[in-house]
Amino acid sequence: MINRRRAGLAGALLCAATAVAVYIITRPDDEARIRRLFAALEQCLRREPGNGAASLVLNTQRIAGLFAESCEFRVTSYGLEETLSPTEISSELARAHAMLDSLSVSFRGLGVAVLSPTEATATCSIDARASRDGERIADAAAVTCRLVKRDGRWHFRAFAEEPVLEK
Amino acid sequence: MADSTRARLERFFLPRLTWRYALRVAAVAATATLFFAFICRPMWIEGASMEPTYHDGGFVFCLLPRYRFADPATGDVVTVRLASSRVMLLKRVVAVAGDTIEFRNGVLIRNGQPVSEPYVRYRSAWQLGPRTVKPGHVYVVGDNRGMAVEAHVFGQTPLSRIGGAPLW
Repeated sequence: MINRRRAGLAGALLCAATAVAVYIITRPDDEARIRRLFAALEQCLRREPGNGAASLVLNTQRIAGLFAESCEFRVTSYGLEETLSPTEISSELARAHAMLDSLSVSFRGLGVAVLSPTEATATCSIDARASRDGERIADAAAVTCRLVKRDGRWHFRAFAEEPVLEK
Repeated sequence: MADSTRARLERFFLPRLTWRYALRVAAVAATATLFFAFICRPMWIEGASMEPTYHDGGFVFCLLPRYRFADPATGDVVTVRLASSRVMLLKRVVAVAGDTIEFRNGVLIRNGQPVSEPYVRYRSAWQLGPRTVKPGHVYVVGDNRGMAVEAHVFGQTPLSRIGGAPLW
């Protein structure tokens, strides 16, 4: 009886240890979480020609959750130097989606460096393609992003265009 | 004779699915993937900054290891990586480290001497003060000087950003 109880206890402990090990091994690390954050941002920014109001509302709501309390944007080639709150970012996205027929933004060559448990930087190239009244627009830029961790989740804190060519 | 040719053609175009054939297909696919990903990358040109040498919408292969063991020289057309090598800028090297360059009325002046640029067909009166190329950098400009100097993306870039060179 005692042996059976011991065996049961050992089995339960083994199962618990296995579950903990599986969790630790498969748990996404910070880099994976940041990569997912960029993928989520790509999804929010995407606008297909057939998208209706529902998807617009969903995307504008989702995008606000990806940014910290304020996010700095420094895109020198467009003369953009602003700090926007998540609400302002949502309304900017809504405005952009209303103006464009389609929009697709890809973050390529993503390199993530986790500086501390709550701070990270990422470098990538932004490849943006849009269409408006049949006219196709395409642009690409190298950017450096600063990210912060708030309440266990990563958020975008700053976007700065990285000068590739210095006149 | 006709039957043998037909049989040979059939064997060539419709081979029997054997392990040997599958292995051969896999080897060809792997070699092609490695070749086009790391050695000779196909690229589509977007933008008119290299007109008339390279046209908007054109296609070119980029030889990625071209500058692995040598630095680009003046006159070379190079690709400049953005954050990744999927999106690159196509430009011409007009000056190397230590050179001083400027544009006077659209004419490129390198180390105080006007440079003859037969590849430039469209030219506007670019004005840009003298600047010296930093060590470990090259100065790149597009061939289309008909664009406004503010609209044209050019300047000095570190050698580490040079991604390769177009094959033609």
